[in-house]
Amino acid sequence: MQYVARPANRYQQFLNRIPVLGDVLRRPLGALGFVIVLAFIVMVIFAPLLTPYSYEEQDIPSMLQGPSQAHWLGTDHLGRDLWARIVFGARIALGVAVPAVGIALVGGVSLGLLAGYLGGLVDDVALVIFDSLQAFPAVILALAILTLLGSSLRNVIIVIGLAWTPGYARITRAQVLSARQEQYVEVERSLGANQTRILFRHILPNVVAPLLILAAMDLPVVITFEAGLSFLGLGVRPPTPSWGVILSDGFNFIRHSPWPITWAGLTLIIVTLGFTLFGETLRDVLDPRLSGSRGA
Amino acid sequence: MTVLVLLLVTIYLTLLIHVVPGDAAKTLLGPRANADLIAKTRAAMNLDKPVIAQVGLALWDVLHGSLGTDVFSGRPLNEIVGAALPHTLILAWTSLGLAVLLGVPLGVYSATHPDSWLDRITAVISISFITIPSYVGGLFLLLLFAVQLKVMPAIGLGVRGDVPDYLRHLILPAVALAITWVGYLARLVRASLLEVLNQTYIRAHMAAGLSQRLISYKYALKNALIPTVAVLGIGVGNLMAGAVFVELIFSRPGMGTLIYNGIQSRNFPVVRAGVLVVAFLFVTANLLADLLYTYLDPRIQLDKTRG
Amino acid sequence: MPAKILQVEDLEIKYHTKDGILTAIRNTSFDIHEGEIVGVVGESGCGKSTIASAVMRLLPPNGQITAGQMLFRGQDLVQLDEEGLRRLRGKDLAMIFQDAMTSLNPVFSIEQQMLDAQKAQMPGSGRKWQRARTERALAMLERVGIPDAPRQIQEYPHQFSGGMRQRIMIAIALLSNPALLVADEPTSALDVTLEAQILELILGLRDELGTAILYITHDLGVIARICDRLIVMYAGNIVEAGAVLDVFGAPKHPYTQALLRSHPSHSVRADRLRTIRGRVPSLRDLPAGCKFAPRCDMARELCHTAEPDYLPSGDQHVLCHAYGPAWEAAGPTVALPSETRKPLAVKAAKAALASDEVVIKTEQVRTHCRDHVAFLSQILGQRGGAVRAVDGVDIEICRGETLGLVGESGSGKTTLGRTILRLLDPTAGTVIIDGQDITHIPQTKLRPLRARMQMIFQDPCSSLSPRMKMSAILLEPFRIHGVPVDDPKRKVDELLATVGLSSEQAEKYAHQLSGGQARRVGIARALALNPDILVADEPTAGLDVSVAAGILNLLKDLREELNLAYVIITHNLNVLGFIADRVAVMYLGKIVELAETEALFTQPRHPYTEALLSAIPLPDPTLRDKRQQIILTGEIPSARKPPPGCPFHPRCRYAAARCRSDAPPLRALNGGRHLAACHFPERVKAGLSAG
Repeated sequence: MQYVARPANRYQQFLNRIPVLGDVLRRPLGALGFVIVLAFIVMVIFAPLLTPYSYEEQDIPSMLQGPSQAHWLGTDHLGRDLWARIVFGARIALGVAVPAVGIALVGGVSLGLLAGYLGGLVDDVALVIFDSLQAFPAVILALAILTLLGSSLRNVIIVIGLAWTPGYARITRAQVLSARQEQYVEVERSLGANQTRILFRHILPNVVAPLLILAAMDLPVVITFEAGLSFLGLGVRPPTPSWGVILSDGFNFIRHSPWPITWAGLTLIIVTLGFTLFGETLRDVLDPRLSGSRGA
Repeated sequence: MTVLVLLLVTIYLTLLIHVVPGDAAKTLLGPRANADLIAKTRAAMNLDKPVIAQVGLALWDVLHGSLGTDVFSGRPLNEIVGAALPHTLILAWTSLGLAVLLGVPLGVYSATHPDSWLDRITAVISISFITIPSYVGGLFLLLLFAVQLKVMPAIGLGVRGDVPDYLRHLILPAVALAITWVGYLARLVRASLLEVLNQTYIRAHMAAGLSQRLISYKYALKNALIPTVAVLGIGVGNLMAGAVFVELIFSRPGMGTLIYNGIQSRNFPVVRAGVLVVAFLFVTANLLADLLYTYLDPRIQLDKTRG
Repeated sequence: MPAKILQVEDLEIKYHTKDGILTAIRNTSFDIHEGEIVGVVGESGCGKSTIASAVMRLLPPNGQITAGQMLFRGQDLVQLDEEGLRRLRGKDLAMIFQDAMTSLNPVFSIEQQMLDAQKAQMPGSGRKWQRARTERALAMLERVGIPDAPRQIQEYPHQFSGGMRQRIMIAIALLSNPALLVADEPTSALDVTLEAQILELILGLRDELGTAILYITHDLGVIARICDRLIVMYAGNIVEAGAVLDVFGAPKHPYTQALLRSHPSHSVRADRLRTIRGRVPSLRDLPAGCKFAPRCDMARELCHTAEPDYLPSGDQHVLCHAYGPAWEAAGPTVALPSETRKPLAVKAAKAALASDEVVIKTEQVRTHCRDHVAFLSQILGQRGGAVRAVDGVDIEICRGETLGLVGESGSGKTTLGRTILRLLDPTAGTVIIDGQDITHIPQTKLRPLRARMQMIFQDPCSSLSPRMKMSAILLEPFRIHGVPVDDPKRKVDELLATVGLSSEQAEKYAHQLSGGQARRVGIARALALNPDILVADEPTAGLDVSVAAGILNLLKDLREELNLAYVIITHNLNVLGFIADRVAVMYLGKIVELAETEALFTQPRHPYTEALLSAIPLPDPTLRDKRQQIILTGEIPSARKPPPGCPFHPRCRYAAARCRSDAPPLRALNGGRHLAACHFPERVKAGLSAG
């Protein structure tokens, strides 16, 4: 295999100075992901500035139009501007994903820590509970619960948080179990440290780091999940413009206009792609062991 | 273990009804029902008995293989579910088959020719596929092939008894479900195969003079398939979740539509029956995956405590 | 003179890494003749493993042979294409690796792997071929000592013990009778008695099949035992090469001399071990001129500026200016900074304490580790087994005394060490520290006692918390025990100086330290609270010989300065010869012999000790003929089901009927301080002479 050393140009030198992020941007896929994530965040923060329309402003005569000067992406079945609905949809997406993942993290990590560190009966019971919660796909669980509780933004967040908790708890538990085997834990005990000190000062920091990365990579998954729930009519209530709702409306009028589905679908795909690319590159950079074919 | 989980699930679901504010029977029947009908429905759903008894009855039913009765039609739920289940299963297995047939070879080729142009293309395609959720994929496929191009049927199962027509109606939904999985499998197989190829025993095989083909396709692959099979077991569950969406989009009858309609009409027994069956299938799929795992990896002994 | 089968000339190998292109091997030339065993020895990073991979052309993807040639029976391996190489591998060239568990494919049966390995060379389908291959495989398995081969061949690798797996690996490699076998540290991970068996097997196979062997190892003793010629490597160069008897008898290169001197073989009852100053240079940062010059006592100006040539000197080849033409005119020796450490002022209080006061005492202590069984399974009646790691041990250690605990895997020595410190709870018996029975004290109440008894852990890198700086790690003990520290920075520097480290190590993280430095930090941490007792778990494992010597010197100094009681746990008897007052030999959880070091080495009284002493490879090739080899049969049984009666009887050459039923107690011989657990201690022959 030929190895050609490329001289670093000024852009690369600039990147070399930024820790971590520089390495991510150096790889083309990572840079692409970063750009998309950045665009997404811009959409979230500056939503009102990006469009003159509001997401609920109806204009029935102009319904189901394609892209035009007035409406960049066209209109939906109630004449609402699609671009506006998508831009504000970003807020819904993030507004659900971040709290949901947050809840799952807090709940999962606590339970996982307990199960992993206390072991014994507590651990066995915890495992059975996790297994039973994960015994059916998250969608079905969410369906069942949302039907009963009624669908609203708040409930969706709670349900997603609940569905993701056992997964995080399992991973935390596994990390705690392997951290317990590490020799420095025994060292601490030999020095006389008590359990709490070991848990919080030594095990927790080592356990939290990979979990945070995982959580960040779960954001796109949760966004997709929430959109799915909304598509089924069990997510947020109209007129809130979750991308899933746009898809659902579009589905109902699929023979009349392809545009709502096209734009909402594309947006979902691109945003998910961006987060995934960024997240994977970040993980590769932070842990070079996992990067596969690349050399030392 | 499996049995325990299923029992717990039944308990959850029965208890869930009580979390809801309001009277379950009333919600079911709508605002125009009269008191007499409500009372009868409550009795039929066992809601008039104490909670413990309800749970007990539900467990009893499950253990006897009965899912209860539909309060609307009076038909046993076993029958209703039995009509819907085969279609979902066919859909799920077809998608799985498609995904495996496409995804695994792609993954193997990527791993054995790392950094080639095909590897890079596959990487891009895989990642893109992974990010396409089943409902978006289904909608796009529907849009493109059924609505715009009008080459594929959009709705339903096809003419009864006509196998080729059934297959025609199966293609789009199966592909929609399979998309995500092709990408995921390709990546997964590639990653585990690469890791296996780094192991010392592969070097030992090379030192023994075995051909690269033999090493990659027999010796390395078997090791790499083990984590893949584990994931597939979980995947079946996700496939069924995806099936809900796909059945809706393509108007196919199946477990998905059953549960969805049950939810829309607040028909809890149907929902409970449906969810229970799905859970059962999920757990069974995991069990099958475990068995396959044991078959592939001689180091694992089947845990005697697995029910 | 047998023919040359491998001729390596001017080989140069580079690696492409994140830090740039590193030259791992430079200007290396050597030959291997038919049927001879050539050893390649060197410390970590010298490039010996790279040579092994290079000969087989199995370098990792980022490695590249950039210059030189390797003529194997006339064909240049460097230029050969992949298909040509594949035809040679397995048939004429074979390789065995260090860890047999990872070298055998876990999901295929032995039969499959052996048959496929032959198919590549003996292609042909059909029953006749199949049968021929199977017969050959079975014959080979029997030859390497796998009992019941026809049944065993269908098993999977994980079902065999470590020693068996090693034999299987050798069998697969030698199936087609290759001309050259490359062995990359095949016995480094094995217990000493097992290593002796495998070495004997290798020698026997060489005699029978005439295979030439390129044997890579870091252990000079192994080289002395089986090699005909040897190559000494340092920082990517061959610094000396020649016949084993010549090089060991009269080493020419300063590095070879230093290496031989720092080996703690028990026959040298010295005050201090000789070490080599400085550290092995990293490949990123090689010095100009001779790579060994910064550490060489004989170095002159010339050595720091110009690289020496590889020249013959007598029957050897040496890479050193001292044997070259320009030496006379090279000027005086350049003085190197000394590296001694300031000894601690002996604390008067400690010295005053009586030296015959017993600080550690155990009475019939047992530690059995039960398997974890899930709660649900317990309900269903499943009970786990127990590993009887420590099975009735009595010891007594006085202040200032050092007891060595030696044994192979499964002996229970590590468990005993941890039980003494109450890191593991004993299942039965008592542990008494300083007159106080600590067997049942709850862990929380043990804390003040912990300050007085510390452990030095085996793996230095994982025993140092990866996210903490050294200064924080050294201050941990004070924080845990609530001892106020007036000037933390000074305290840290003080502790570092105690173990001979400079204060600049304080701000580093664990992964930035070398193995020896990390060990020293571990020792410093253990000493922070002024303990009276130190348990050292394999203090020299994984360290290069010269670095290990430094650690042993340090431990000896500290013991004298601080009047500490030591328990040194190791599998390497050589280490104990240097530092221990008494030695306890453990086997399957029991002490089988306990005596003063000198007495144990000169006249052991237990057959196991006898075998251990005989199995240790010593760096003296002349012993090959003089020393009688006692090779034990079989392997160490599992500690879950120890044999009845005397646990050693299945492998004992002196065993009689009584040994099968009666477990011999550990008792004193002739009323002295030499204890042995054997019915026939008088049958044990004399051990190694102390001379």
